[in-house]
Amino acid sequence: MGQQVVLISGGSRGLGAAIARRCLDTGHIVATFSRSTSSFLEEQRDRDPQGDRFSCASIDGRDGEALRRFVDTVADRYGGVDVLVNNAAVGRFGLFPLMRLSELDESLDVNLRTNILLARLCTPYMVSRMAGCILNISSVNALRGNAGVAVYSATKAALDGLTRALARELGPKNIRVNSLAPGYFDSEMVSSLTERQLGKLVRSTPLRRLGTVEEIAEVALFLISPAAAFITGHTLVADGGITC
Amino acid sequence: MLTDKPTEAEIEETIHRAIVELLEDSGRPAQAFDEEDDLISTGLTSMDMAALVARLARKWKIDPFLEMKSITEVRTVGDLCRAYQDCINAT
Repeated sequence: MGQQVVLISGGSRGLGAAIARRCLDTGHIVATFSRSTSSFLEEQRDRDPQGDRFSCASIDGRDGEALRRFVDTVADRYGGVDVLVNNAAVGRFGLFPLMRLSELDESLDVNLRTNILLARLCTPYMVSRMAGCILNISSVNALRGNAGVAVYSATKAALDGLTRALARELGPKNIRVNSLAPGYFDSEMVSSLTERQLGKLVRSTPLRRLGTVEEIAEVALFLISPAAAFITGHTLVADGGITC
Repeated sequence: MLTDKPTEAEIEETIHRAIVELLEDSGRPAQAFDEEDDLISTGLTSMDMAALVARLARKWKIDPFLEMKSITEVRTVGDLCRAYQDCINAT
C-alpha cells in the first residue's frame, strides 16, 4: 500500500488511537483531532515534532468552523486527504425516557453531525483525486436493539445508512465507503459496565470473551487497505459472534 | 483564505479552463461553450461538478456550495462563474 493521508476523528485514545498507531506502523501519514490530549498523542508528538507524518489538534467536533480549518490545514500540509476514519463518538447511556436533552443533543452532534460534516469536507479532496476511502465506525448496537443505548444506536445506524448512500454515490469516483461495527471490546465505554453486565455479554458471545482494541483496529486497517479494494457499502461486523 | 482576489475575467477564464481540463482528463473532448450554455451541455456530469468544485477549492480555498449557495441554483456556466464571484467578494 502506498503512503496515504489518513484523517481520524477522535484519535487520542481507545480505538481511534489504536487505528492511528496501526496506520503509522503501516507507513501512513496520520492527522487526528480530539477534545483533550492523551499520552498517545504526546508520545507521537515527541517522536515526530515536525509533524512529518503525524499531526493532531485540540478540537471539539461540534465546532464546524474548526473542523473546516483542520481539514484544509491537513490537505494543505500533506497534499490532500486519502482516508477518513469517522471514529469520534460519545456514549451517553441510560433509560431513554429519562435522558437529558443536552446528552441527546451531544450524541447527535458528535456521533452523527461531526462525522457527516467531516465526510462532506473530505470528499472533495477524494473526488478531485478519483480515489479515497471512508470508514465509519459503527457498532453492533446499530444492528440489534439493546435497552439503555437508544440514541447511541440511532446515531450508529444512521452512520450505516450514510455508508450505503455514499458508497453508491462516490463509487464511480473510486471512493469506497464502509462501516465497521465492533462488538464489545476493552474500551472506555465497556469499562463503565458492571461485572454482572460484562459477564452477561461474555456469555452471549460465541467466542466467550471481549475483543481487544488491537483486534478491532486490525479490521479497520483491512477495510482501508487495498486488500478490501472490492468492498464498499458494507458494514463489517467484528463482534466475536454476539450478533450471529 | 484568498489573499489576491481574482478579477471577474480571471474567474471566468479559470473556470472555463478547469471545465476543459476535467473533460479532457477523463477522455471526453471538450466542445466550445460560453456563459449561456447549460453546464450539462458542456459534457459535465453531476459528479464531475463535484470534482470541478474540488479543483476550484484547491485553487481559491473557497467552496460557494458549502454554505452560500445551493448547487441547484447553478444551471449555466455563467451561473457558476457568478457563484464564485459572489463567494470571492464575500471573503
